[in-house]
Amino acid sequence: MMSRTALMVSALLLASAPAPALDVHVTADTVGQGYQLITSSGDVLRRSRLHQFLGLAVYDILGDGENQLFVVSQMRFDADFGISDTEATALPQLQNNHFSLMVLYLEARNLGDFLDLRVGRQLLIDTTDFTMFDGALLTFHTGAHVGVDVYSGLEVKNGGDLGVVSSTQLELDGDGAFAEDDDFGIVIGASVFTEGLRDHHARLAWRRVMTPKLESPLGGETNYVDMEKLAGSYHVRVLPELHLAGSAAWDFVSSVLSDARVEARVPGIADCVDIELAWWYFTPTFEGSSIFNIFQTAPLNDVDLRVRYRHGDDASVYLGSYVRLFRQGPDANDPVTDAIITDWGLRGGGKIQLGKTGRVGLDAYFQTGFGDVTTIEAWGGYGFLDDTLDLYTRLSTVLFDDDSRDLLEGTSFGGLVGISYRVRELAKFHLVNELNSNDIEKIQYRVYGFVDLSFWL
Amino acid sequence: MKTLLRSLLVVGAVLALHSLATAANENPWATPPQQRDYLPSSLLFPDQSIPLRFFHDKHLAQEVDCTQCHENATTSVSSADQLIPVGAPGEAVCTTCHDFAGGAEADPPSACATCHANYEPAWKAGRKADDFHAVESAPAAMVLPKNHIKMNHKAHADAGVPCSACHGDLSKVQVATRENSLPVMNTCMDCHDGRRAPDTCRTCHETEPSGRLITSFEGGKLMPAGHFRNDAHDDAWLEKHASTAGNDDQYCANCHTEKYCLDCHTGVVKPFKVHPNNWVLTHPTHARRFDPTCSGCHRTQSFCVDCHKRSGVARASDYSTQTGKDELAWNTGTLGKFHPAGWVGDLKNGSARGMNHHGFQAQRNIRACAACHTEQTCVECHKSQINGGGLGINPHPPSFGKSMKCRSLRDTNARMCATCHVPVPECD
Repeated sequence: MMSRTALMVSALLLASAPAPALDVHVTADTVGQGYQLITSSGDVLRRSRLHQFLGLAVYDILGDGENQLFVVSQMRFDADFGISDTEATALPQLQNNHFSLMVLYLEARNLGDFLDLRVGRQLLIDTTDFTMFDGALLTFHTGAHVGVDVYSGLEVKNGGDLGVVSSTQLELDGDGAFAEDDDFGIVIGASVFTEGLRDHHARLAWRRVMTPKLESPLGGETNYVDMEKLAGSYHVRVLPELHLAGSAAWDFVSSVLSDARVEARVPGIADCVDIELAWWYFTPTFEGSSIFNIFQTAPLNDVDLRVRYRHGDDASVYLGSYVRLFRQGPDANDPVTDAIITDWGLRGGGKIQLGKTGRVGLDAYFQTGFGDVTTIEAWGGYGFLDDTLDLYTRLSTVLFDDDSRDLLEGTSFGGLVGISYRVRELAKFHLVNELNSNDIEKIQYRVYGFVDLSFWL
Repeated sequence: MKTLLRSLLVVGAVLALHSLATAANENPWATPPQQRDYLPSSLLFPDQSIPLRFFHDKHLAQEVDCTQCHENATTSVSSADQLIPVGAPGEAVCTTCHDFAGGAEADPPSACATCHANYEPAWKAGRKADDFHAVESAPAAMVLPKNHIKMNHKAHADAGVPCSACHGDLSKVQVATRENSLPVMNTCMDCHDGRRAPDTCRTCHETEPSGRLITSFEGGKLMPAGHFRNDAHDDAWLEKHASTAGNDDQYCANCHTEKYCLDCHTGVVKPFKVHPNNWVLTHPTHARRFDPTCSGCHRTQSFCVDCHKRSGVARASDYSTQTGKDELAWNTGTLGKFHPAGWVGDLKNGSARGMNHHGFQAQRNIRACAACHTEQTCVECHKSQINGGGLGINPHPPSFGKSMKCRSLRDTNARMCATCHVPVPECD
């Protein structure tokens, strides 16, 4: 792992050797968090976390103003002073003092007027899912409103010297992290997509993540497939007042339709009303080696409606509702039970812009399912001193009632007050205080501090 | 209820005052926008003030060419160029036709109030006859802040693009305003389709050296409005952005860095815009309901399981052994039992499962199971008795052995099968 990364870093550094008129961008974000939690056994857990982000990027390496060649990197260092070494050993996810290389790639654009190339550690998002891998992505622009992506590399895992801790999308879910999941993940994929079409946006993507050749319980050696999906998405602007969108993903490992969505959006009726209607079908899938795949899982079916009224650019209100259907179906031990469970919810809210820097809003939603939950959030803020000093607040109330668990019932209150100070576009300092109250902890106080720096050299 | 009504009244009053204030600023000679799907952005084209009485329609009817007044319109290469006749130099353009000395009686009428409506000049004592600016107080000035669009008028003119292609039919317009005659993105994209003209965002929008769009302006943040894609950054955006990003992540990259995505999607720092206050306590009620969006940022088998082990919510014998802490407070009775009665049915006796049976809960939301349990918990009971060493309680759906799912799981990753079945059996 280390040698691979060292090789990649060296290659990128060589590729970014001195060149004229470089645009160097530096970002440094520091996040500090301090609070305490009460565990179910009454113990106090300390949270004293520090996250340091550092981004370095060099643009326009060729110095011709076209930015055809550039290098981007993003690093993070995490420390949790509330975790003992013993705990960190017992739960690797909690390890402190960990350096993560999140992004480091060299990108060349418009090679021969038809090709983009990105090499290094990169985040890739397409219709199949997220992935982060060390490898190469080639993008071909055919000039006929069609582009093609082809990529391959090694999946970035949680563990390892330069792995990314606390990740979700960066590694497939299913197996326990770290020690149980050390095999290399080989990522290969391709997608075909539209480009340069104002009213049509489509992508057809395929991706496979697999292990190298390993011994198989079926005999011989095989590449275990951890993930393989074919997914397509399409959006069309039929009229300025009618947009249709749809997507679907087929999971080859589990042979299920893992995700499907259809949405109709009617914006700007009488210049002020939007209507959005969506259906979402979702079946959870896991890494191919996980036994969570073999259980009987019923897909989620959501139908969601939202109506929004906009009063100019400065105010809007929305109302929405959804219905969710689950099948409670038979399994091998119980071939009898078969029922449809219906959950539903309502939501509403709005916001008003007050002058150039003030804003207030309210969001509320009610959901059924395992009991009822009502959440109400009021928020607002105002910028002073030419918007360099911003004062903001948020109040939350959650009324929750879980039918089958007595302890999950009650009312929760929370208040947050934050202040930020911006020094031109160079730096921003935040201090956020959160005060919560609930049945388990009568008073819980949290403090967050952020320092964001961003400048060009 | 009284508080709610009072709040609604306050909101209504604010909206009404806003409407009145907007109406008061309107120029009666500003022609209302016609047949526009939407209006130009006030961020890209900051608020203007054009306190004039002017008639584009009359000028065009007289066959006055656009460049006669907008002299640099076909040679300008930057949007920072002032193409509208303003101030004294601008009035010099007017004098090509307007005889200021002739006043209202001239043809065409040329009094101050001809254009500066309701303006009565108070001349300074001893002014010269041709010094029209020797007044005690000048009429209200035009305010035309710099816009934030890249615009090369020359390139467009050289390509033969008529003024009306971007600014509309001004023969029906009196005072041209942002609302009635500045182009919107739809106008640009009629030609900027990627073939006739470039269609990248940076073609028209101001950018940083990185090529990403500048989005912070004095009046606020520039954000998509959803005119061309499902990209309106509105109250529903948090829930639906995945579809748009999945369709075209490079479109998002026009404004956002990878860090912007990872800030939320690595689940390290609580994003205040996502979770309400007191989230740690209330999140189980959301997670239990099956919110698939949890897994967009949190990996159940690491983020959820490990924190649940540490906080005593999940089974954690390995963690307890190594740290010397009490195991599984829920089951030791400290706070009661986590799972409800009927969670594990007596399937050996053939009794039907109750609604609280964990099988149904797993069907409905297996991610909730995976947020506290590793596979080993399931295996303890569901492992095959034959050579597997488990209790042999079959977790598969009916007719699983005959299903395509069985074959594809076995063919693609048989080590999953080998977790419970040794040797791995054939699918039927």
